Amino acid sequence: MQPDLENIPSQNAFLRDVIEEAPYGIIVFDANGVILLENDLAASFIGSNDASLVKTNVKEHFNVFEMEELLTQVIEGSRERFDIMELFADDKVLTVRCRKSDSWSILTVQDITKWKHIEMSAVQSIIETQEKERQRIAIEIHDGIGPQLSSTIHQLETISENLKDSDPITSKALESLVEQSTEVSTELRSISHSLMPRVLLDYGLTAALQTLVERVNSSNRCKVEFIDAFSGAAVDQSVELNLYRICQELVNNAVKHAKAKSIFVQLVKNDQRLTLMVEDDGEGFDLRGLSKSRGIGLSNIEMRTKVLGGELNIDSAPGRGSVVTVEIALNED
Amino acid sequence: MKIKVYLADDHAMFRDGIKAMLKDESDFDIVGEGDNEKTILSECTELEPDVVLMDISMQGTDGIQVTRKLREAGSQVKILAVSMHNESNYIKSMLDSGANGYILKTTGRNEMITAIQTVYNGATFLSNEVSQNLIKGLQLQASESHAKLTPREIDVLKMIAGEYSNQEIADTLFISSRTVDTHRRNLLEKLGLKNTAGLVKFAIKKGYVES
Repeated sequence: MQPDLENIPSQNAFLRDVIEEAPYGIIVFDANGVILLENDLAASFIGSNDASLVKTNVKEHFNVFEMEELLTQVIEGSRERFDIMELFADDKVLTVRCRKSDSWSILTVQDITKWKHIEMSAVQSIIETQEKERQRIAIEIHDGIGPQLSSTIHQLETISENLKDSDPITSKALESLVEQSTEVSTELRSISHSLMPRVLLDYGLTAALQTLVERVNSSNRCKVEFIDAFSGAAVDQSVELNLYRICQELVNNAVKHAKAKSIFVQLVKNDQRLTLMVEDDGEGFDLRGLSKSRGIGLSNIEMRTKVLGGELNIDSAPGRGSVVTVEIALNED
Repeated sequence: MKIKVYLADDHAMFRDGIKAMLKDESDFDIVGEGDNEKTILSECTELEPDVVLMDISMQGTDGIQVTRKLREAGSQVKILAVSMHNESNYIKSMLDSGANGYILKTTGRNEMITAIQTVYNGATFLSNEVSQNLIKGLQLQASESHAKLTPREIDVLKMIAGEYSNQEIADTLFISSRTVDTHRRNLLEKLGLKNTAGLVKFAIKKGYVES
């Protein structure tokens, strides 16, 4: 049954007031997607402040692929409802909720841009605090405990050397202590490095990625190649650090979870954009059915990409490896 | 004659370890120690050591910079870097600045003694791990890896040259058309080409397609 356009609630002053006073945008559309009613807030969210949306098709106003698809399904009847927590439309972030009733559907739209900004700055400060703390611990290990342990080892070696003739048994025991401590020292260095690669702070992103790649290669689990078409453009250290972390996580995922045999990491700068691309020939995965641990890794990457104001794109299918791209805009100097 | 050694390191404990180690060796004499640029620079002139054991990351002092300043001032003292850093960048910077050798703090006693004697005698000394990492780093630099294409990029390039659309390429290679587009842009950038025609020419030249 088609509702009678002359008798729809917009004609009713009382209902009109209620709808206008609602703290979120409201759009009602019929079975064909034709808008029957909307409030000013809804019109302002979708960038149509002057003209009324009534009698236009709801799909025209949301040129975001995800949204168009869902609206089509609702209109065609294959879907009764949908909720989109974060819809990125132009410079706004919207929460959209759609419910279908007998002959019309109600779409409510909330502008959460402000909250999103607050959330992003909270995320950013969490990341920064975490990195600062990691850096502090890494430096403590690298410049403090590390050399101290080396010094202890040197002294043990000296005593062992001195006892060689007079007490060969003790000397031998000390020698094995030296070996054990050297292993601890190597382990410490690797912990310090994964907490914060000093080479990133001292020599920048390219050098740090080269080191990362060499480290994975020396474990002989898979072959990683780094293609540097970045030519060392000046990038903020916090940007470098976030990109490094993203790369670290992606390579780690490819080795550990996807059991890749070959990984390509590339950094390409074109115009004022920087693209980080990590390709692997591993098991691949279904994007919809990510396991939880894997999901956390990816959500870290997502979060860091957002902090960089960048775009993340993941392509993968079971048995087809994966390609992950992070693209960020570089500031013009 | 004893070799006069100067210790430039900001960790008293590390310096003590070296001192204890060299104390029983009859050919060494520790003539001084410093933990900051100013002290190290002046004492390396006044005390006339033969060999300086130079740390890199000292609190507020950069061993690479101190080494360079010593050389700029005309100092002929032998400088042996003793650092926790084993990455090629540090090794290269240190040698470029004028160091005569590079060993790691984790280097064993015997090797450390050999290293000091070697640089004292006018030769260069790099411990095993150090020279390996240095060579790896130099190879990477020399390989001009920036123009290298990945297997998938070559697939995309072949299909572009075969006049397939983005969507056809995407469907064939099981990637999204957005990724195809990124591959295309990266190809252009890495090969220094301007447009699709350039990519086609390149593919033909490389024998990826029949001309």
